[in-house]
Amino acid sequence: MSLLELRDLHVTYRGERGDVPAVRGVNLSLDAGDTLGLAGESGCGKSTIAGAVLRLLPKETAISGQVLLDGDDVYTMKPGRLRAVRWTSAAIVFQGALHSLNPVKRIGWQIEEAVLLHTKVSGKAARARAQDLLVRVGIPADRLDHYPHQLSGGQRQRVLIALALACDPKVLIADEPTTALDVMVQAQVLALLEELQREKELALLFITHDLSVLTSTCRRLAVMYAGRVVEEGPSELVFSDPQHPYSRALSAAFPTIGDAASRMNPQGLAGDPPDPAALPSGCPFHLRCAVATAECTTVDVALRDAGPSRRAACVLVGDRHD
Amino acid sequence: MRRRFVIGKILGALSTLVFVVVFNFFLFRVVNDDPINSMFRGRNLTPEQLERLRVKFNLDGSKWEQFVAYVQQLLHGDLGYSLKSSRPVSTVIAEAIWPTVLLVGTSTLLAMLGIALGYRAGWRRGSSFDAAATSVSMLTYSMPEYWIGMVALGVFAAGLGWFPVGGLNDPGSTATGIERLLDQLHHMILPATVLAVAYIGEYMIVARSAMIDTSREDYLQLARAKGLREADVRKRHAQPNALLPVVSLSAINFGFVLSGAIAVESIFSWPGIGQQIQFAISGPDFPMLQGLFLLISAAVILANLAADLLYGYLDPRVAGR
Amino acid sequence: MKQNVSNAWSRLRHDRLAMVSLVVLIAFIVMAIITPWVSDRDDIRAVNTADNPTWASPSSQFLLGTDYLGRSVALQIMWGSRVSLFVGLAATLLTIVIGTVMGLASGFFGGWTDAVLMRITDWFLVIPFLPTAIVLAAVLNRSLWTIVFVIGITSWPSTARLVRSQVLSVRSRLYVDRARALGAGRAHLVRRHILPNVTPLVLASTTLAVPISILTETTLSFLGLGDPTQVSWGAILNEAREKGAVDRGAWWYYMPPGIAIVLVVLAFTLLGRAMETVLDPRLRET
Repeated sequence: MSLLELRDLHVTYRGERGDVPAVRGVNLSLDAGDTLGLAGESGCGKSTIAGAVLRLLPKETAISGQVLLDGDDVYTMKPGRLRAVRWTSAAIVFQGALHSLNPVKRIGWQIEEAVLLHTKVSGKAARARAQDLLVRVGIPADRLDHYPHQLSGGQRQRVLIALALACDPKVLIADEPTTALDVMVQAQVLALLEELQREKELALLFITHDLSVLTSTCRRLAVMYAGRVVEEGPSELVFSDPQHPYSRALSAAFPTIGDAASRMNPQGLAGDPPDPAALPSGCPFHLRCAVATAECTTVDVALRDAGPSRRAACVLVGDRHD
Repeated sequence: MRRRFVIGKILGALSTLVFVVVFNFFLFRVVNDDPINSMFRGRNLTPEQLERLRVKFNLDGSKWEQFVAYVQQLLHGDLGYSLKSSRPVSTVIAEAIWPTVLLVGTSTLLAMLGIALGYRAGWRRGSSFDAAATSVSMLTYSMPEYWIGMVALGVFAAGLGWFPVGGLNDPGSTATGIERLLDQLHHMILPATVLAVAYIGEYMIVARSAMIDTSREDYLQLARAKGLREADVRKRHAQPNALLPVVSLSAINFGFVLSGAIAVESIFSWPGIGQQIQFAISGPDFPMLQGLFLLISAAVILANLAADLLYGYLDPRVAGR
Repeated sequence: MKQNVSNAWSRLRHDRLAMVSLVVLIAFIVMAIITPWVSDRDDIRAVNTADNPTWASPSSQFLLGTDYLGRSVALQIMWGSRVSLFVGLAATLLTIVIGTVMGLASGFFGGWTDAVLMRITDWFLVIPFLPTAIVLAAVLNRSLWTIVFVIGITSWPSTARLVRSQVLSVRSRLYVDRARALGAGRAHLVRRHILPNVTPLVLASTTLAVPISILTETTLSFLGLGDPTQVSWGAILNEAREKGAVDRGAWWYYMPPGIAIVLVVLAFTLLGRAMETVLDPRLRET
């Protein structure tokens, strides 16, 4: 039984100007020790998935499909069970922006709150645990009584990681954890995440728009576009030999470290991501696709086999591997 | 809190107080260059008599000399003599201050209920509670406080007879101790409620918009993800942050409540500072007005200082921690 | 800029509350204007010349009854609207002019000018403005212009602050620098770039400042500091109270002036808020 499983997840936001389908039928599954990267541009629905897993989306949102944590559907849980499951079964590492942490509460208090909420320990024990967690992520213990604004961006991100681990969850969802950081700090935070993931055998879902980051941290990679997964497979392969035209464009935009040729020649992708409220007909990518055919304007293709444990949603795929 | 922050705020308050003293002095002198002349205009006094009066009231000599004399007097706690009652201004003020403190203190506390209402309205923006609370607040905010007082008197005192029509104590009453206190409370209910109703809207609206801004913050989502009940998310995370703009407002609002007390005390014959101002206006009793103005300004400056320090305590980003 | 105005107007038109408020205000303005045609000053003089019944409750002859001198309360309300509206608008105009000039100077010139002006503004902000207004009104001659002046010079700080922050944000925008690089003079900068961006916000805050001016005027009149020759709603309430209208239960005497005040103040406030929402894109709630 997987630790986290998404079955045919559909998420539609209800706004004043109509419905916005953010996620249109996503299937994912993670076991202990699995690392899955979820990549895509903004608006593709990947952040929505993070919120969907712990049922944090606005009340009016229309959600269908199943989100199974340890086999239980999060969307059929009673409120009490849901609150118990949050943070203990799965936790989210949010982006370490300044206001991800409560600015008027000390960081030690914020970690202790999570511990005290889910375990019956004394205040002292909770404080000790907070201290241990901070040290484990590389922050000196005396920062326990500091406020978020007194820490640097990288330190705040580490605090968020420590916070996420407070209740020993088995599933960790990292939602753009390195986006706001500069490269050196990014590398440190990534190394930390990998270390912790290996040590605790966590199931890690790593959400980001930065493909290059995922290849080292995650074994598998899923690329999202317009609310769907358009390609998935082993991250090395998806990055070096993408099957879907979108993944191809995405990986071409990120120069490979060590490969002088690609470094000198990054290629952007023309056009803008589609408006989820007004998706193009057929394959949503066809307007920006370099190899679109006539069929692409009418046929919205599902994921199909594209090699050993690889799938891609393109009419041109499958022809090659039949 | 860093000492520098506290000292800085105190110095700031002191400098404003100095400005007020100077402003107060020149306000009365500049606009009314020779008060003695204008006050005793009707009477037939010889120039020598006028001059003697001037000396008595320290109104001789150059402006600068007068100012220095004024400051010296102030530092001795001497606020001059009331023209109307021929008593030291400071004595009159000392008698009138407690009823006003009682009234304004109680009303402010009552008006702060608006904060709780505002939080609830802002947390559930667009709900029927929100619409009702906002409408009522805007309505009461548009009403002059003395008119609310008149209507209240008309309905509850003159009309239904539930409350006395004015004063702090029943005239002619010889009650003492607890009975006297209860009687005073009975007299205070109507004016305090009226004053509170007039300013509750202000608190409600600011608390509401503070809560609305706070409800959008990311750390609330984190709190929910941790598994907190919605009520706890609101109480432990949203409210402490939404409190900050409200604290800033309280200082400003205190000035308004104090000002509003002037008219309300007048309506209810409440023997406080406000009533004294009303008496002083009809003179015009300038030394009295000057002393009262200084007192009120000092009170507001103090309230601002208290609010600034409280804000520094509540928001760690401000006090340099 | 003209396009912006018509856009804003069409958006405002859809706000029902704002439109109702506008209608109410126009009604009062019309009332104020036509008053001299409908009645003459004798009707409100402090002498009971005609043999009208005193303290009469509303009837077909006197729609809002009569006061202690037998004067028609309704007519007094009409005359009062002239004073309250005039003072409210004139005082606000003065406030806005002073505040805008201070704010513009402060934001535009920066440096010492800014520091000094801001210190002065902060001081004025702390001094409670009603007591200051009371003192000034008590010390100067009792006239309408005194009231206008008094309200104007005690209310300008918040407008100054608003204008200054707007000017600062406009100044920091790139295109102002570019214009400067092209050799634009100061006057040109102010006229072409800063004013158009500052004006909408000032307009909205003007509409919101009027209710405060009106409420202050009524309070000052109520305390006896108004022009003794003029009828204002606050003065009517003062007289009503002095002559015992509350004790007598003469609700037709003391309720209508208050209701009139509430209607006008509420209408300006709602209109001002709607204008703020329409003119300041940041405030628009999606």
